[in-house]
Amino acid sequence: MSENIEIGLDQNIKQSGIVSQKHLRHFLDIEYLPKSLILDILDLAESFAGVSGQPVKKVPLLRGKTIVNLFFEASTRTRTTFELAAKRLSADFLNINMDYSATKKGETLLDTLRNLEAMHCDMFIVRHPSSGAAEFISKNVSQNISIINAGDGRHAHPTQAMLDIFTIRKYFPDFKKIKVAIVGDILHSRVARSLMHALRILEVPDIRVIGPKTLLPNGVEHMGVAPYVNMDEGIKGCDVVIMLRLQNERMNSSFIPDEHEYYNLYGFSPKRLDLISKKGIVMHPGPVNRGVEISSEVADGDRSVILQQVSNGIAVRMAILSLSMQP
Amino acid sequence: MSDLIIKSGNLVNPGGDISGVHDIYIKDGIIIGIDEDTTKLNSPEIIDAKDCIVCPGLVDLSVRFREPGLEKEATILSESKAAVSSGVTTVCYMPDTQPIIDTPAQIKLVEDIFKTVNLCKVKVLASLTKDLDGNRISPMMELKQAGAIALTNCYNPIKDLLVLRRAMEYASGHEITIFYQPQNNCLANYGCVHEGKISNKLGLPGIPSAAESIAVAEAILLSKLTGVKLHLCRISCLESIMLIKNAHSTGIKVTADVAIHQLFFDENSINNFNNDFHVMPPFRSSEDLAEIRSAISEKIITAVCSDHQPHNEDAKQAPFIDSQFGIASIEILFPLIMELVDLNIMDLNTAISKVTSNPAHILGIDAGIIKKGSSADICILKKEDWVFGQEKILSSGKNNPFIGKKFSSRVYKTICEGKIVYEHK
Repeated sequence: MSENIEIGLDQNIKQSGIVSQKHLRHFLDIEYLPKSLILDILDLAESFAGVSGQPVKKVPLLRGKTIVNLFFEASTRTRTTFELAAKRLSADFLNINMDYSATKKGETLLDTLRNLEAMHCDMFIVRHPSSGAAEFISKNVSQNISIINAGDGRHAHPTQAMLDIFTIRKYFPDFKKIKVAIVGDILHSRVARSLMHALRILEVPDIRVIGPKTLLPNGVEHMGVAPYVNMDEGIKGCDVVIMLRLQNERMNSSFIPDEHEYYNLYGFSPKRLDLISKKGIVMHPGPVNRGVEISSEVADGDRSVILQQVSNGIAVRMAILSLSMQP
Repeated sequence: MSDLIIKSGNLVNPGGDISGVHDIYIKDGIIIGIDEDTTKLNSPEIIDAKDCIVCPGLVDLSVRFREPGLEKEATILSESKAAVSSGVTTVCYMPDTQPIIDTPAQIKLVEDIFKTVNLCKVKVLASLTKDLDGNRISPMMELKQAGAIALTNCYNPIKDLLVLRRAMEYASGHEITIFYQPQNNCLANYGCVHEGKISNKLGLPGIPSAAESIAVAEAILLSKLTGVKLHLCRISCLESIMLIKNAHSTGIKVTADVAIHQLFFDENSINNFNNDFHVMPPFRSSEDLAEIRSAISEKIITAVCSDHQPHNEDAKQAPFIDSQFGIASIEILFPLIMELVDLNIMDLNTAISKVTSNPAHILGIDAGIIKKGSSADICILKKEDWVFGQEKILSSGKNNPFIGKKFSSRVYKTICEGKIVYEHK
């Protein structure tokens, strides 16, 4: 077990009244989480999913705790769903958008952190453009503060991966029987990296990554996945196809020739629906580039679960926040 | 300065004619005799070196002591103390200080500070292009006349191969050596670790081996074209070694060195974003490490340097990619070299040649050999178990992944120009 994800041994820290809780020190990465804990988080999220449907959408689990969203990079979905998750758990909540370039010039990351620590917050939800930033911060905060990784560089986006597997489980309860493909810019994607770990830990037997060679990391097969350059071959018979967003800047730096060729080769067009399994679903972590990596017809169609991913994000993040809050 | 006799030490002297158990007589900073007192020493101090290894003072091909300009990180005084504690008596000073060493006055400034500190000797490298900009060649002859031992562009790229060609041609005409740090920056593309297993795992931008080996190939071919004396700095991958081997077999006289830490770690050491392993070039794969180890046991890579780069706390207090690269390794250079002997990677004679006579030969200086008439730069080494603890570090830089390591030999005394500049107590 890596030291960066200290999973507390005290399993009876408190009874939430929903399920008996284990306890996380931080939530930084999926790589070293045991399967049982991942399933526990999904189960707890399941019980929270009901809360959003109630007339009073709150549980008092984190009342009196202060949670800070510390975002050094732009985000809408992740930032908002974390905020909603924290508020539904009755925590006090603060949104701080750090202009990364400004902090780089003056105040160091550590100084920023020290200042916020001095305001007696209990948890930081961190997004940062540098890989390893969340881990770095976790090593430098005082004992009583938890760090949740909301995306660090290309490294990890573990809560996104958790909500993705939560969504998958709704359709395919047995992970050992499914084929999953991740399509697009694998090289730069923290979502893909966390998903590969999550799917491997859950013993998904067939994990594929699909994209042009320029966007597949050299030696990606060592992560337990099968690389495909041909999308039609890659998605054939898959139960779950996860499309990744193509950043515009990739076009200008010789990763791909143009949008047109990219859509032809790797875009999810309606005719590609025929290639995946009959009950197969299409996912996307958002924001969607319509007509670049996915057609509107597919994104808005009945095989798409993109909006369910967003709603599930709240319940899954509630589970993670409540498990990671220090007593 | 009193006269000295080093008695009964086991002389390991790879570049010289004499080895085995001998007495060394030193007067006025010069070795005046081996086993014979040619001029009658005046009440000499006698050092008993029985059961010790006595070897030439080390010649380190690359150090950064941060002065002038970055004295908050380290100074020539602090780092010279660290250097002599490892038996180093001559250091090659890299020109990427603030300001950059690209004028005779800058060279003189650094030399003067070393003279004042008076612990070890310095050979200054000046910048190959003005302001290290990679575009305008520096006044090479003026710099040479002012004492520059060689020219280098450090980590700064020379993007235009025509500029590199002209720099090499010009240098060649004036018999100036170029130290070249091979890296194609387009391919390196702001990476911070080796492109491979660890870059995939940690999501850190990678530098492929080809970024180095392509630059090695270019430099070798241009050295053939221009006839310049080329030294390749800090080789890290097996493809580069293949190219150097090939150059040697076709009669191209290129030399190369490796940083000491590259002989101990590979990419797997970086696990968990440990900033102490952020180095440039990056730690490569385990196959590369094995190949580098065999290349130094053969004659492909002839020198090992400390690549000493001290940093203060602030420089390392950031996420991996934003932290400064480099290791402050000079004070364990010799113990680590001895560790390579213990690991059977090199025999004792070969190992010591990599940090004494060979680097001196690359620089074309009279150093790194114990012989009558030479400057008395000598290191005395003892077999003794010890642990390199944080509290013992002399360097201002505590950025060192070797902290906590056990060693089996340690420097007992260092003598530079006949003066005892370090004594272990």
